[in-house]
Amino acid sequence: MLGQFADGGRLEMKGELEYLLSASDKLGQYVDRWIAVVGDEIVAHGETAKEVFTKAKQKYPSKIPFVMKVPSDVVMVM
Amino acid sequence: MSLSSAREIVCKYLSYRFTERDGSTRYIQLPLVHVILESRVDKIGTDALVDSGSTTTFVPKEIADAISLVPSGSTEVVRAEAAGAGGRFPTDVVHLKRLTLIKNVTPFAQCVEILVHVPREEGRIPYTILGRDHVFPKFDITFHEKRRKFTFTRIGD
Repeated sequence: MLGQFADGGRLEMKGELEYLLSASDKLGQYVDRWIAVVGDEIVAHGETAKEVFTKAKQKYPSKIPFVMKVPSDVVMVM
Repeated sequence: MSLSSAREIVCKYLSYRFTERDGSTRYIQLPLVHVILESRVDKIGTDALVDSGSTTTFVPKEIADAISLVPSGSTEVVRAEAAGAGGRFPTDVVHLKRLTLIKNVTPFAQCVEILVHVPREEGRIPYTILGRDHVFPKFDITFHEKRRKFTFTRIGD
């Protein structure tokens, strides 16, 4: 995982969502697709959550993959 | 890993832009938080929208299926229906073993043995939705729309 300096100068470890926040320029190419992130790497992308989750678990069996569908700007109202 | 006891947790909006097929540029800004969802058999990290407009918590069927978070008998499932401005859709209410909120790599809140709604159709919701039933009672949540941040302020006992 990457480190980052937080307020006060202490070093914080970055999680997968924080990695995506800092690498947001990469997300546009995955809009409406599922991605799996482990540490600071997008380890799988594909059409289904199950597919990318399985690939990530195979590659990093001891980790908990972060899986998300990269949202488009479709307005969502519940 | 033990929970952070920090009183305030500040999270950034997920912001990015992309180009549509017609060449137009779209900007996305969403108050998403990292959560770990745990079923009886597996765990998955995913993004969750903090949504004060939702009375309950939803998990996309795609994510629920990935960790086998499925109805497993009459005691585990209640068929329900969700309704909103987008219309009505059927859901199953299932037990989630644990919901953990994460900032960086540190958990800061947990909800254990909770009921969540899972739409019966894929594609109904694009991400997990944290409604007002489980997480909101633990925090005052403030959205700083212009600064693209949101803050969880822990409520004292």
